[in-house]
Amino acid sequence: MNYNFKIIKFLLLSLSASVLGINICFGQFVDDKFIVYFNEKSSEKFDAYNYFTPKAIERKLLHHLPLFDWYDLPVNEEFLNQITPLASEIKSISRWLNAAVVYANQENAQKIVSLPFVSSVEPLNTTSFIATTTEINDNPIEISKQTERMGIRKFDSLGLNGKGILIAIFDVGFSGAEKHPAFEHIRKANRVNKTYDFVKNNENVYHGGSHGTSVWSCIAGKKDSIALGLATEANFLLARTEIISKEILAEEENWVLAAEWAHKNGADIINSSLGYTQARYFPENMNGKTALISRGASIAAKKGILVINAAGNEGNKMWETIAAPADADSVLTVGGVKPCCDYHIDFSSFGPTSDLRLKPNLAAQGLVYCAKENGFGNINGTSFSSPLVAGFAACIWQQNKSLNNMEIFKLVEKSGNLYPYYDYAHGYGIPNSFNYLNGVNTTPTFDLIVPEVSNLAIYNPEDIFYKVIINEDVFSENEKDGKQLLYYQIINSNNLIDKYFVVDVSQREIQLIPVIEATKGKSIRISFKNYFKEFKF
Amino acid sequence: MKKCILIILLIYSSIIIYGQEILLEKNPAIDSTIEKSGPNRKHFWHSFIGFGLAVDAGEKGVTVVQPNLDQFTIGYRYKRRLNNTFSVGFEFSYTNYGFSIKQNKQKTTPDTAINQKQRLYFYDVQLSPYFRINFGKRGNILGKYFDVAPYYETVFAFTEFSKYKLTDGSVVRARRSGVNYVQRFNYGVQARIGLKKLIFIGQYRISNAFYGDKNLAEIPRITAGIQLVLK
Repeated sequence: MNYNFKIIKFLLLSLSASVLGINICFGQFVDDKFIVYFNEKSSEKFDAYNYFTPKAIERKLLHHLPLFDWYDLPVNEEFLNQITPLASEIKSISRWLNAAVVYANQENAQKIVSLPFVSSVEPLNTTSFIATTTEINDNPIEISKQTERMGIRKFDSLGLNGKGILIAIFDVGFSGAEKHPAFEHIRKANRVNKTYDFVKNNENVYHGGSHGTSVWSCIAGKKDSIALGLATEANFLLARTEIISKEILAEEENWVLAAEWAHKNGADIINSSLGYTQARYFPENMNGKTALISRGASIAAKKGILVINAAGNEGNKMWETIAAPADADSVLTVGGVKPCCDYHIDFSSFGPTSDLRLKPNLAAQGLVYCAKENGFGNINGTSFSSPLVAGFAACIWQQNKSLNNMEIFKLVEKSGNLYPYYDYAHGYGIPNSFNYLNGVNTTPTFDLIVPEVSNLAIYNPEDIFYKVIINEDVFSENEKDGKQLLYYQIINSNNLIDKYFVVDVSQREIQLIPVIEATKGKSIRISFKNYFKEFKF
Repeated sequence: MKKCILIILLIYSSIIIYGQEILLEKNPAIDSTIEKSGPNRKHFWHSFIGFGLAVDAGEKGVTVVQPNLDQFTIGYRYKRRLNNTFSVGFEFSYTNYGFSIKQNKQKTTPDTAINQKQRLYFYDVQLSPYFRINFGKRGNILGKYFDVAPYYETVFAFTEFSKYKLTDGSVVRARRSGVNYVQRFNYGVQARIGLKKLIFIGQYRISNAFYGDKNLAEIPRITAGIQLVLK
C-alpha cells in the first residue's frame, strides 16, 4: 500500500515537473533533477569529534547541546551505492534532510522511487530569488548612521564588537572582497575561517557577484576607521550558494548544504539575504513548513545556530509578503526602514506569515553605505538590513556567551525600539544597544483620551475619536528629522492585528479611531518614543 | 478645478486639524486574504498583444512578400485553472492581417493587374477557446505552458490597397472595400508555447479566405509569431 502511494505520488509530481514539461514540449531528452529522500540513516558509529571542528564542539558544549543527533548522522552509503547506477549524477547529499539530489531520467527515477529504502522522490527545479538591490548613486547617506542608530557607540564602550562569534554568510558571491580595504582588518587577523562555493564545489567564493561583499561589509566592514557594521571583530565563514543572472538566482539545496557546512564548522550565526517567492510558491505557502529552505533553516536553528534572514524586497510588488526562508518560525527576519526615520522603506516585505505569525521580527536601515566590488557606495535592499542585525546579535552573544540561539533571538527582539509593540512592517523595530541595556521605557510619553460616554448621546459616534495627547516634555515642535512617529494598531477579539498605522505627528493631539469602531473585545496598542500602552475597549 | 482646490484644501485642513500625517496604514486582515485571481490562481484575466508573419508564401497566384509583418493582434484572455497542470480558457481578440502581394505575371489574386504595391487587409474579430498544459511546480506565475486552441474569426472589414503608376507618371493609391470574394467567417487552429509572459504562437487557417467560386488563389494559411502578456 505504502509502495503504491509512493509511486502514485511520484508520478503525479513528475507530471507537473518542469523539466518533464520541457521534454514533452520541446522533445528534448535531458535528465531531470530530483531530490531522493531516504527512510533510514546509517547505523555506523558516528564520531562527533572527528566530524565537527573544535569550534563546533566548543559551541555545543557551551550551549549544552548534544554533540550530535539524528540529523548529523551520515546518509547510508549502501543506499547511495544502489541509486548511483540509476542516476547520471549525484549532485549533493544532505545529512539533515537525509536525502540526495540526483540527475536521472524519468525511467530511472521511477526505479529509484520503487527502492525499499527510498521514502519519496520529488522533482527539483531551480527558482528565482527576490533580494534584488538597487544601486543608489545620488544623495550619499551618512556613513555611520546605519550603525549609530543601533547604538554602536555604547557597544564600543563595552568592548562589544562580535569578537569570538563565528558568522556564516550565504550569498551570491564575494567579488572583490579578497582585496577590498573594507576587510583589511579581517584579513590581517586571519578571521575568515573557511570559504566554500556550493555552486561550483570549490573554495573560491570571491567571484559570482559583489552582493555578498556588500552584505559582509554591513556586518564587519570598515571605511577608513568608521564601522559599516557592528561585528567588526567577528570571525567568518563565507559560502556561495546562489547563481546570479538578471536577478539573483539560488538553489535551495545549496542553502541547506551550506547550513550543514556552517554547523559542522561551528557557526554561531547564519546571515542569508535571499528568499524564494512566486517562482515556486504562493503567499499562503509562507508558513515555514512548505519550502525546503525554510525546513533547512528550522533545522539549523534546532542545531543552535541563530539564523538571520532578510524579509525580502517585495513590499511594493504583487507578492508583498516575506519570502522563504524568512517565514520559518526560528528565523530572525529583518525588514527595512528608511534612513531618515524609523518607518518602513517602500520595498521591504510585509508579514505576517500565512499562518499569522509575527514577521518580520525586527527592522534595520534598508538603504546603507557599504563596500562594493570596487570602492564604497550606497545600496538598498533588506539584504543589507539583515547583516546589520546579524552584527548586533553577535555583539549581544559576545556578552552572553552561555545563552543559546533562541535566548539571543529573544534578547535581540527585546532590543527593538518599539518593543513590546510590534507590527508586520517593522516587527519590534530597530534593535539598539540602549534598549538592550536599559529595557523598555516605562516613563509615559502620552495619555490616551477615552471619549466620555455622555458625549455619545449628543454627537455622531463616527465623529468621536479615541485620542492621544503627547506629553509636553517629549513633544518637539521641530524634530531633527522632521518626523515624530506614533505607531498604533487595532487588535481584534482573536488577538490579531486588524489594522496598523504609523503616523507622523505635528501636534500633540492625535486622533486614533472613532468610537463606533471600538467594539467590545477589541483593543488598541500605541507606541510613542519607546513607551507602549494597550487599552481594551 | 474648483473641486480639485476644495479637495486639496480639505486634505490639508484635515492634516492641520488633527496634526497627523499617516505614513503607513496596513490592514493585514484584508491583505492576507487568499487571492482567487492570479497567473496560477483559479481565475486569471490578462490582455495581450501579438505580432506574426506568414510562414508559407501562399498559393502560386497570390504569393506574399516575406518576411513581412503580416499579423497584429490585441486581445483579452481568460484562464481557468483546473489543477497545477491543466487549464482551460478562452480569448477574444482583434486581429489585423495585412498581406503584401508580390506583383508578378503569375499573380491571379485579387486580380492580374501589376501594381507597384498591393496589400490585402483583413480586419477580424477572433474568438478562441483553448486547452492548456502547464509544466513544473510553480507559484503564482504563468510558468511554462503549451496551448492548443481552435479559433473562429469574423472578417468585419476588408480592404484591398493598390499603388500603381499611370502612363503619365502620376502615382495612384486606391483602396477598395466591400468586395464580394472574401469569406466573412474563418476557422483554424492555434498552438502556443508560453514562457511566462512571452508566447510563441503558430496558427493554421483551415477554412478558405476567399469564396471557392471566384477561382482565387489562397493567401498564406500558416502564420507564426509572438505574443506578450501585458498584465
